[in-house]
Formats: sequence, C-alpha cells, structure tokens
Amino acid sequence: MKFIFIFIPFLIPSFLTAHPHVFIDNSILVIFNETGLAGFKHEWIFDEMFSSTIIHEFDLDSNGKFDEKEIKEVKRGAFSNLEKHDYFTDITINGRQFEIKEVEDFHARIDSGVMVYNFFLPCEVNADSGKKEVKIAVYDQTYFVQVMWESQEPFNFKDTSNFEIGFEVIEDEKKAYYYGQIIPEALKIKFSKRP
Amino acid sequence: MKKFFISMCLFFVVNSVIAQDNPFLTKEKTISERKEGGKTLSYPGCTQKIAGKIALLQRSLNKRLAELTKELKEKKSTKLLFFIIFITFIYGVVHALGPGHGKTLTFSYFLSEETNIRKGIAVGCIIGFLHALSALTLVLILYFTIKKAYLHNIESMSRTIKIISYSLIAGIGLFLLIKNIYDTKRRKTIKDKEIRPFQSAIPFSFAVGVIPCTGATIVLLFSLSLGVLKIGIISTFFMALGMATTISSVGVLTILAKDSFKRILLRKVKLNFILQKIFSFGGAFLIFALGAILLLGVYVG
Repeated sequence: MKFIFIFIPFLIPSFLTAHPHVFIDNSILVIFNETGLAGFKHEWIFDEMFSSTIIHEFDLDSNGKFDEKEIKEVKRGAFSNLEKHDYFTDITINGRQFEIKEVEDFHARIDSGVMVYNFFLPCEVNADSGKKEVKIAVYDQTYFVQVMWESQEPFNFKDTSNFEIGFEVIEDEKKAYYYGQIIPEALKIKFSKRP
Repeated sequence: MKKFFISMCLFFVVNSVIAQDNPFLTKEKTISERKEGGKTLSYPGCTQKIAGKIALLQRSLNKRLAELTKELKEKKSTKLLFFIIFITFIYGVVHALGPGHGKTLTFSYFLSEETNIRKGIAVGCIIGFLHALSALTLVLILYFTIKKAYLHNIESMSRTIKIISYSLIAGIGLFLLIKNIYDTKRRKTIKDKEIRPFQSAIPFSFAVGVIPCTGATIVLLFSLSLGVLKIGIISTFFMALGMATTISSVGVLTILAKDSFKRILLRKVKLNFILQKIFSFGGAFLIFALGAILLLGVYVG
C-alpha cells in the first residue's frame, strides 16, 4: 500500500482551495424593539478591486456617487440575486435555523473609492417567554466572496435598555463550509427582558 | 488508509467540479440549506488553518495590487512596476490553486496519456495563458464596443464559452476512451519508452484554458476603471505566468508519479500493464465525466 503516497502531491493543490474573488468587511448593528430583537443592520465594505468594477458599471454619470436611480440599478444588478444565497447570512434562534425571507432599506454608496452596501435584515425574536439565544454568521458558502468582520467596530447594539444582553464571538465549527475547510465566526447573543 | 486515499481522490474530483459563479450576478444558482454539518464531504480538519492562511494571503495580495496600481498611475517607476510583476505572479500561483483552473483535468489527462515532462509544462502554460488571454479578449471586446455593463456581459459571454469548452472536454475524454479501447485491441503489450503521438494535447489545452479567468477579469476591469489598461495587461500576463506555474506543476507531478509507478513495477510486467491500462482508461473517463458534469451544471444551474 506504500505506493499510494506517490499520489499525495496531486492532492495537495486541491486542499488549498481558498479561492475568494471578492472580499467584504462586514459589520452588524443589532437592533432591539420593545419586545425583543428586531433585526440586524448590515454594512458591507467591499475590496477596492471589486468595488471599482461595480462602480464602473453602475455609476453611469461617473460622478463618484450613486444617486437614487443608480442605487436601484445596483440593487437590481448586483444585490437582489443574493436572495438565493440568503444574503450570505446564517441565523439560528435557540438552535433553530431562521429562514431569511426579505431585506429592507437597501442602500449603496461610494466611500473613498470603495463600495459600501447597507441593508436591514428583519429577525423578530420576542423575549417575553424567557431567555433567547441568537447566533448570526455572515459567509458565502460558495466562497466566491470572503466575508470578514470589520476590524474596528464589527458589531454594535441599539435600543437595548429593556434587556440584559450577553454576547461573544465564537468559531462555529459545526457550520464549517466549503468542504469543511472554512469555519465561520459567529456572533452569539443571549438576551432576556430586565425584571 | 485505503479509505482515506479513496475519499481524498473523491474530494479532489468533486472539488474541481464546483462552479465558482459570481453570486452577485449568476441567476440560476440557489444555495443549499445551511444545516449544521450539512455537507457530507469534508476535508480533514488540518486543512482549515492552511486554507484560512491562503485566503488571507490572497486578500492582502489583492489589496496590495490595488494600491500599487494606483501608485504606479500617479508616478511612473520601474521599481513599482517590478513589484507589481512580482505580486501578480504570486497572485496567479495562489489563484490557480483554487478550483476551476483545470488542475484535475490536467491530472486526468496526463494520467491517461503517455508523455514527457516538457509537454507537461507546455500544456500547463497553454492553459494558464489562454485562461488569462480569454479574459483579456472579452474585456477588450467590451471596451471597444459597448463600453458598459462589463460584468454582466462577461457573465453571459462566459456561459457560451463554458458550453463550448465543456463539450470539447467531454468530447476529448470520449475520444481518448475510444482510442484506448482501440489500442488495447490492437496491441497486447505496451513497450517501455514508447511515447504515443501527442495529437490531443493542443485541443485539450484549448478546451480547458478557453474559459475566462474571473480573477484576471477583475484585475483588468480595475485597471480599466483607473484608465491604466496597460498596467492591467502587464498584471494579467504575469498572473497567467503564475497560473501556468501551478497548472504545469500538477502536470509534471502526475507524469513523475506515473514514472515512479513504472519503475517500482518494472519487473512485474503483467501488473505494470494492468495499472497502465487503469490509468489510461481512468484518466480518459475522468475527463469525459468531468466535461459532462460541468456541461450539465451549466444547464441545470
């Protein structure tokens, strides 16, 4: 059986299939309402190269800004299709998969030469019935896009005064994707109503 | 150990079939559910750290290339240009390690065909350069014609090219299979040092390399948006050289490994003959099957 080791060199390049073409720095604003979690506001900052291709294509008047009409075109041409990819977002509520149906308030802008997307992803979780645990990770399962947490302020919380909140960033090994090679980093939030 | 080997081979093949379409644009694709441990196939855990590091390397190379291109636009400098050449070469080497750059097909081809190292390098170079040249041609056609909607047009043009390419790959696989059957019937033994004609190498390299490289397309469109297409073309050339290096390495490794087999089994003539037949038929069948699966993937989505 020793001869099988001869084959190992062929397999090495295939192991290293890290192959993203697009890079996103992602930050999330976790928004609460009176009863519990309301949803997540995403901000995606794209890498300069991919940004330039989209800007070149959609900033039709080349003024370095997206106007309302151009934003609609960006949404139609380079965002809406992500519905099929759950907008790269994976949410579980108390261990159960949350089905992403829609996003709201999509906005695209050009900031210092790079493209930035903002959108709100509704995910209502009522905390009346006790403590809740919500896990959110942002990644592209096809690995065409590599999504990483933004380094300065990867996440923040809004309207939290009614709740006791704990959170941590975990390596969610059970969600390892792209043939188990990439482990996503998930934000795990635990919250309950203040007495 | 046997199971490990078989499963590795399986991943190797399956991995190459993953169509890396742009999720922002590709209309057909719908992603599978995100279940815990949903994937039935997975690499061993030890690859996770390597994959993560390679991804970070790609990210920093991508960023550095963007910065350097902008810098070179501002001030003409030979030093900067050489730095770009170096970065793009490394970017090409790393980029071609990912799926969709013909490595499995190259492996299968050289498994099936009797050839030498020089031709292994040649096939890798043709695939690498054609892969980038195809991207450059599409970008230039769009630049000189409609001058807009580059990404969307390239995406739809790529689809047609993929259909042609995958059909050719499946056809070549089928041709090699038939040729092997014919050879087996014609001769009972294969003489050592005998190298068969290399007629199918050029069509094979063309069929595999003709698909435009998305990485090169993005580099070109970036330089186009800055108004420095020349720098983009230079970058693409050296990126192609990097990709050619990776793909050639796979070809050469395959040929060397096959030679090792022959040397190990030099005295066991019958076993040697059977193994060579397994390689020839297996390689040809892999080329045919991959071409067919990829072609099916374009239509099914």
